[in-house]
Amino acid sequence: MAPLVCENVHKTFHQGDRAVAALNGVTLGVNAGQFLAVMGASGSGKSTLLHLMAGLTQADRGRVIVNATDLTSLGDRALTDFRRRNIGLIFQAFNLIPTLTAEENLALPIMLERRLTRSDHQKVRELLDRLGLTSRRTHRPDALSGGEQQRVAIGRALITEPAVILADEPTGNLDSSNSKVVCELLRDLSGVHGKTIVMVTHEPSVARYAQEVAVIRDGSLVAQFEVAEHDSESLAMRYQECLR
Amino acid sequence: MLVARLAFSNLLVRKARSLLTVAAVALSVSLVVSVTSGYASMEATIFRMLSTFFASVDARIIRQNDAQSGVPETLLQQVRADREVRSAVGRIEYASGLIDVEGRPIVNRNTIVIGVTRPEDHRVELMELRAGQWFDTSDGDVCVIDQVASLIIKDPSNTWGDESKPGVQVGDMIQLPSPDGNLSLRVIGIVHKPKILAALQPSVYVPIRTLQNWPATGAKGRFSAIWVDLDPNAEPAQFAGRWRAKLEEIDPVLKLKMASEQRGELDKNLRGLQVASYFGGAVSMLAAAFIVFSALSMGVNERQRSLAMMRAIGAHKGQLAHLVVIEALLLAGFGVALGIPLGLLWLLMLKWLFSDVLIAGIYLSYGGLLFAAGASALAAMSASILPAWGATRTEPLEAMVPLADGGKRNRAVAWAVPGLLLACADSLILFVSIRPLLQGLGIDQADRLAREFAFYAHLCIGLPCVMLGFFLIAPLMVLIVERMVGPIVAVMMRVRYPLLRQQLTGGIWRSAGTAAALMVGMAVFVVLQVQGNTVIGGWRIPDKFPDMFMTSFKLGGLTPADMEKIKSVPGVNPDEILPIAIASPEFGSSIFSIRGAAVMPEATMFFGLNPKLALEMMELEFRDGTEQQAVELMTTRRRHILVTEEFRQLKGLKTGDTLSLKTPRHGTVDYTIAGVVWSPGIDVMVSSFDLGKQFEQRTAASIFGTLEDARDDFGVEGVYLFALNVMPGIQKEQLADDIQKYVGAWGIQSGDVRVLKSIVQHQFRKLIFMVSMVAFSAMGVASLGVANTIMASVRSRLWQYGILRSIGVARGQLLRLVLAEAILLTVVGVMLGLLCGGLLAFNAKQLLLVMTGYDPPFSVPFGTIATGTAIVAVLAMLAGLWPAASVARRPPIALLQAGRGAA
Ligand SMILES: Nc1ncnc2c1ncn2[C@@H]1O[C@H](COP(=O)(O)OP(=O)(O)OP(=O)(O)O)[C@@H](O)[C@H]1O
Ligand SMILES: [Mg+2]
Repeated sequence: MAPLVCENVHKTFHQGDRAVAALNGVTLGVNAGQFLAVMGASGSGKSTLLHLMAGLTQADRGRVIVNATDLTSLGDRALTDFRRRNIGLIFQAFNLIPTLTAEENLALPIMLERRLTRSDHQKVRELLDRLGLTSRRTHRPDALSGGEQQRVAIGRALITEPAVILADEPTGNLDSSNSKVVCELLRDLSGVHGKTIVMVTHEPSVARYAQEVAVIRDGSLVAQFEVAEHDSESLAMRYQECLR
Repeated sequence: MLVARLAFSNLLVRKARSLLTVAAVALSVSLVVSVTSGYASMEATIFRMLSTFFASVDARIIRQNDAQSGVPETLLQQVRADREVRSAVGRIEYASGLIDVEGRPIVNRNTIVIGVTRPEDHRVELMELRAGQWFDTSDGDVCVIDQVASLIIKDPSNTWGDESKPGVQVGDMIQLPSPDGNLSLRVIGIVHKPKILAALQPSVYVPIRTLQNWPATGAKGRFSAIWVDLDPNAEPAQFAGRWRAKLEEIDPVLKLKMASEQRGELDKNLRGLQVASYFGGAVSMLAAAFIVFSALSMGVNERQRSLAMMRAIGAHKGQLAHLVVIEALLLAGFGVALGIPLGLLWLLMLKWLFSDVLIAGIYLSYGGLLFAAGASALAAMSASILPAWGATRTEPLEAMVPLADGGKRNRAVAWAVPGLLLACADSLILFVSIRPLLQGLGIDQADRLAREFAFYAHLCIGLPCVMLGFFLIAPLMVLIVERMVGPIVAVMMRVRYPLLRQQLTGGIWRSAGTAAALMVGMAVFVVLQVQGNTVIGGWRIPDKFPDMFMTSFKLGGLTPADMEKIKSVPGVNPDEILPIAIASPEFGSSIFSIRGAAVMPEATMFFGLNPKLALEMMELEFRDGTEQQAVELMTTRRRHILVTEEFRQLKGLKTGDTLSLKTPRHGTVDYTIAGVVWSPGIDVMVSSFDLGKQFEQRTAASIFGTLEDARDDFGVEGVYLFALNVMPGIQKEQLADDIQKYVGAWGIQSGDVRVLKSIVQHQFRKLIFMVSMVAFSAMGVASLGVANTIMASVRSRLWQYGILRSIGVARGQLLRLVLAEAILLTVVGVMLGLLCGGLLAFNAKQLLLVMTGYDPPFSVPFGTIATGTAIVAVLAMLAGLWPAASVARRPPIALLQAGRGAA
């Protein structure tokens, strides 16, 4: 079974007596090792979809199944545990803890569960190395560049070896060169290391690093296509078409 | 592990805040440590003094009620004959006036003249002999004096016993005054006593026979007391049992007091003080708790985003709560670690300042240390409840939005409703008696149980509820003050109100916490002042009241001849001399007592007097019955008394009811109430008039009976105290002064009523002021919180300030803007404090009524409260000045950059 499946999920927000339907029955499957970019205009419901996948909110209707677990059936405690073990989250605003070093921020999900073992340390060391952060190991976030911070955040999402990695506009706060580094990193993670990744973005240049693009409009999935068929210009055009 | 690490690093990041918070905890810990240890040292001092200077003795035989009538000398032989007695000696204690070296009476100062049996009585040798030697006979006109007696007799103006001045030397002659002729004594030795003790009561030691043979003392054939030392292998309990029975036979007014009982009684009296010392510590602890709360809520607020992220990547709610609690405990831990040495430092200062008082040295109160540590931990834990709960409510989704906004805000205001309810709980406890309920259930002693319930429920439930309640009301108060007072302060400080708006409500809980901390000190201050003032204010002397009191210390009381002498004193109105006999009987049934708390004594003060003359000389306000009827009943029948209003309030006693009293002569007997009067305060007067020696136990309230009953039931043979009027004349004060000098030369003390009253009130005010220090230290602790809150608020606004500065707002304006915030915060704290204090004072008055039946009208010292308020305001402003100045000093660009980092 695919590690991530959304079945006809609906989500409506109520603000006072006004109801905003953020998602109207999205069905989507992400296969193991796949790198999916979710695109759409602002307010189309991309983030909402990602939040549902991460178990940060519950769907009004439909099911979200991650790693063969139906998230809609879990309570807060189980969901929290599930998130920690099975989902790697990457935020737009890196969200590192300012008082911890790069290494500690990276190891945070394990530290939330237990004391680090020797093999954990080993793993952290390797990951830092892979992310090119070895020399930055003991630095605190305020001494890191934006790109470095986001790489630490990616490391934090990877450390528990989650079933899926979810990223909401991971390059939103980065300049183009740092964006590129992050995108390549994500691409390698799925391509070389077989990670399953869902990334929300509205930039075609970023989406191009993914294998597949899903386009959402007004809370519905309107298109899904392979990236490999397109160069960056045609990808942008294809995306624009979907929005029309 | 991670949680502790995170908590610790969070504290490190906000260094100034953590330091201030730790300082607040440390300060209150140090207060607790120093106050409790100070108390322990004082207690040790008292016991040391008792054993050295008042000589701890295994047993003493004295006379109950009328202590000065003494014990017959013949008893000594019988006691000595007891096989368990190692030695027994008689002692005489006689208070005497003093005459200086030139023969002039020393006004307002008396000495205790002690007759000792030498050489048998070795106890005096425990004292440090500085010059000369002890006499070794029971007679001879010699004496040993202490250094203060020596100094004062030489120079009466040396009131404080300054030892650098000259004093009477060994070989000099001194005189003790008496109407029957002075006693001249040669000083053969000078002992040294701790100054405080000696200054209270200079002493003169005289061979016992010499004193007995001097008519002034009236001690022929009697002692003030017989002091007994038991054999090392004697059984004190058996001895006591045997002798109690024997004394009962000889004369029931004679009482045996065993050392252990004496100590137990003292312990009981001291316990109240000890509880007060802990209570004082608890107050500043409470202020510290609110500051910890405030610091924690700032932290949770600022870290909203990190907390949300942690939730998103899989931290449990419990872990976040844990984080906050650990932070609180760390703050408390550092506070304790710092506070204990600080407290020890205060102690050293105490030792240094009062080395001549604390003769037993400094004792560390381990109970106090434990209390300080435990209370800080408890305070920190309770302070962390709400912030921890807030942390768990962080939505993980908040981490996903690019920029966190401080959305939810004024919901805090809704807490005012439960707050208000909690605040009322104490009043409910005090104003609604559970007596009818208990009576309905058929429980006996419903009265006493209801009172006990009110007392303990007030302490354990009521007070904490009021504090918590007002804390919950604080956010509403913050909102109100910001809206209503904000514009005024803005005008005062010449800043624009829109800039000031939401400075406090922006972080409503941190403002509320700090305001609550300020409130604690303020409220305690208000209660102490209002309650104190009400109690002394309620004591008003009736228009018609005796002009003077006069007292002698002659054993056996004044003889008719002595009375004639007093009548002949120029200026004394011979027709208006009112002898007053005093006894201190226990109640036949419990009236005031509360189990386990030594709040009110079990005994009353019985004044035996001539009712007709008494009511002529002082106009008593009758609350029940009439003057005529009362005089009639008291003069024609036995065992009729006037009771004070307190009895009616407490017991519902009225004219015709009976009150049972324990008498030494006839056991427990019923006295019939002939009238209920409003207490004119004669009891306060008497107990302040150095008549403490009359009472072997503490007393509460007073009753008025006849001289005959005092004699027949209570065994009061002699009369020592008179109320008297001076001759109608113009200059009452001058006359009173003259009389004082005149009888002073006889060794008789006299006191002008107005002067006595003002002395008592002055002493009482001083006491209230001293106790108010507790409030001020709590306010000091709270001002650290003000600095904290202003700093946090400034931090969250750095960027805004940067913009203001860069568009041309001047330094001074910025400074005023921040100061205005401090002022608003102070206003919130003060308002809360006044309200809370007002409510507590209202409740305290009711408590007084419930406990003692004393119900004086409210009297609020507005001036003092205004002064107190001004002090808090200045303190808080000063605390706000530092963060204000530091932000105003920074260049605009630094503010802008720092602001971006903080966001
Ligand atoms: N907590 C909420 N309360 C009310 N409405 C919400 C909430 N979250 C999202 N919405 C609404 O749901 C819709 C979808 O929002 P969502 O954040 O998923 O869009 P998005 O595609 O991520 O947009 P963007 O590209 O701007 O991030 C929007 O109309 C938004 O206003
Ligand atoms: Mg979005």
